[in-house]
Amino acid sequence: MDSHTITLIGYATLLSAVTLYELAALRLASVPTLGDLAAVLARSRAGRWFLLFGWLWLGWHLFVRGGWLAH
Amino acid sequence: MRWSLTALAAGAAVAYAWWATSFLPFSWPDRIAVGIPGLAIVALAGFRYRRPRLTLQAWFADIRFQLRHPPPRRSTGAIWVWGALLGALVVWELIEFFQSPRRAHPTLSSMSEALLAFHPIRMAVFLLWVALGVDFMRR
Repeated sequence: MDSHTITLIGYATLLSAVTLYELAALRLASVPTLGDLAAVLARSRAGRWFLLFGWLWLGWHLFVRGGWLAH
Repeated sequence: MRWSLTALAAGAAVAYAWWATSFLPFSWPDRIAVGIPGLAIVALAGFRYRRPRLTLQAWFADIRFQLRHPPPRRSTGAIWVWGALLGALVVWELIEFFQSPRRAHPTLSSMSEALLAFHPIRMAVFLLWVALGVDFMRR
């Protein structure tokens, strides 16, 4: 198995686990969803700024510094 | 009247997203088009996040409300599971990021570039990004 396949299997496993846990959280009241987690962070002012600057970085990274032109 | 205003705002947002994602990366028009909603949302958040000045009466009313309606209990273990999952994803991304060549060790960013090469997808992701920013700003 080459490193490209191993990398993809790693991403697929982790993203599947995140998706399944989110689906479980939507059904079980005791398990917080990702939105609940963001709400916990947003309780403090520092947490709200952390979320907002993370969001700003994501947009800049995807749309301004993106390498999609090469595809 | 309200529906027509909503439709007008949605149309304007889609038109802006299409225009903003039509520029080449690393170009000044691109930086400005992405920077306008980014800075506008950060500025609005700065306005909203200011600590509200409560009157003593409002503060007591808030405490009384919190005592009558305590927040639901959440499993602390479940929050740790989220931390472990997201932490593992970040570690995996960093392991791949520091290895080369990129073709053999793709990152989430390099894999998303193939999708973002299509303008309609790029526009949809831009709209989702702005919606997420508005959600964070309103919290």
